Amino acid sequence: MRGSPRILVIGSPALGGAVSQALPRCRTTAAPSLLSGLWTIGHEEFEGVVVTLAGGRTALRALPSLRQVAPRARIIVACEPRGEPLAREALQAGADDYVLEPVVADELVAALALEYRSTAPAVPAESLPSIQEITALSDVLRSMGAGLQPTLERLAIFLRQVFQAQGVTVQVGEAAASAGAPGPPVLQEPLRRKDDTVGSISLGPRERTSYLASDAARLADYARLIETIITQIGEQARWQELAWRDDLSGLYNRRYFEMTLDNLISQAAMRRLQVTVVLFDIDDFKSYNDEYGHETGDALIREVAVLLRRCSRENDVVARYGGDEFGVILWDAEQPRVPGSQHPTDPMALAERFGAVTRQHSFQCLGPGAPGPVTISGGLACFPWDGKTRAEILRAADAALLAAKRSGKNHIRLADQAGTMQA
Amino acid sequence: MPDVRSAIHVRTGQRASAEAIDAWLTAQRIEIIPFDDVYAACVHLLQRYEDIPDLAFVGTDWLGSDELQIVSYIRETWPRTGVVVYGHTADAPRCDFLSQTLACRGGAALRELLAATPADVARRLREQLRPLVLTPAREAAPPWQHGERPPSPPIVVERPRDG
Repeated sequence: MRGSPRILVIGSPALGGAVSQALPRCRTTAAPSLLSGLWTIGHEEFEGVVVTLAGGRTALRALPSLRQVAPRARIIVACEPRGEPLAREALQAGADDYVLEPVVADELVAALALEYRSTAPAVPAESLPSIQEITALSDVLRSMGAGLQPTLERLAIFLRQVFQAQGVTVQVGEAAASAGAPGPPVLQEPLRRKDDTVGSISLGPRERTSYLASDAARLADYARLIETIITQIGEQARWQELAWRDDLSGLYNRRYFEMTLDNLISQAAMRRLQVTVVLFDIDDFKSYNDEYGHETGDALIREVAVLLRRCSRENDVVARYGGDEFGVILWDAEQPRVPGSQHPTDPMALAERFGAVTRQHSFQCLGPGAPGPVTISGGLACFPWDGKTRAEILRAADAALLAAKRSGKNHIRLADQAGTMQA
Repeated sequence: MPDVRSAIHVRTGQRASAEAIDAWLTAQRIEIIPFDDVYAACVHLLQRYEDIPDLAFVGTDWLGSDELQIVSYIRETWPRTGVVVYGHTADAPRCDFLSQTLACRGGAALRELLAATPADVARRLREQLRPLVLTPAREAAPPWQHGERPPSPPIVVERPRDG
């Protein structure tokens, strides 16, 4: 490259500033959005492009277009560590490499394949192989947060490089991942947890030579390390699940509900799906607490939660949103059900079904002397028509719920941009 | 009557609306250059700017606010091409290009558009363009100072939201 390399940064001003600071010998230009970045790179030449993945999967859609317009530019993506699975998808979509935020000068230079190097001291040549292994293993450990399958995939790639095998398979329980062309195993090592075998590592033939006894010993060492990694992932998943659950009802909690809604909106925008949010609450719940006591009130919430779970479909997200308030996210993740199925697929029909089931249910916690049916009121809002962000949709659903409460309760209302009107 | 031979269509509105527009153009034997997202459309603007379409359609239902910029880029690339922006909540494009763009909000407005012919739509939009086109004899002053009418206000066909 002649002169100072020109780098386009597509993302937040913070990312642009960080890249600019990390690469003082480059001329950095910032673009606030994918589309404006694409437009910019179509009019000016850049040696490198840094694209943020903070906006989710939309960046994956733009990558092929960036590549078309700038075939010679080095295109890398930047993401937070938890976004690493998406960064790997970006490599499939046309990115050349990725870096994790906060960005580091050496990583940027390497990822952008810039000709100059930072002033960090060089690593002694004789220690490079083991440092590379450690660095590669660090990358694998950083992917642990993404879950078991992505970690197994990275482990398979890592082990294939370390042992120079034609193929590697790592299997834990029902999960498995392979790298290269596994074929019949030549060297195999079980993964053990105490006295139980929980999985295995299988190496296919080596590219040029045979395995030695030292390779088998090294594989056994890695097996022990990998079993520890797998156990940690399991622990993380259990703690994560606890953090997302509401203790009283067993449903997901508000934090999980809002996080999932954010993710689904992002996917829905990419795949043009409808996402529907229904917020319910139990009519006159305070009177049940006052009449029967808080313990009965809690039992009532638990029974309503069971009914909601029973009425909802596998992919629906049902959460306890607040005191006596529940939230359901309905999204079209799959084709209509089995032909002839009577299960409703229309969001409004599903929401009304919740109400009907609740009305008809005989609540054990209230006993035979209950004053009447337990009813729920609800507000329903859809992405993208009632809002394009989580906040907008929840606001619309909440307004519809309030309107339902004020106009007689015991029914579901649709949100509308001009106000609320009953369906 | 202007001859409409080709149109680009950024199919980022509701599917039913996009299909209705495609059928309307096809019935008039107008070549459609379709794009499933604004990025593919942008590549076309950058690499095929010499292929000037007579009309451009942009659906806005599935666009983020930063993606609406595509309308500006279409205008910048092809100043004389009429642009129709449609959607359930179609926002008018920015003021710079307001007078050269037709915004259809809601299904009823779209049906009203499709009741006309593409040639009619192109003519209405070009009539808005005429005052903004300078001829050599009028380069010194805005055209409307020479006795012509000022630019027509933007055509915004607005209807209540469909039930």
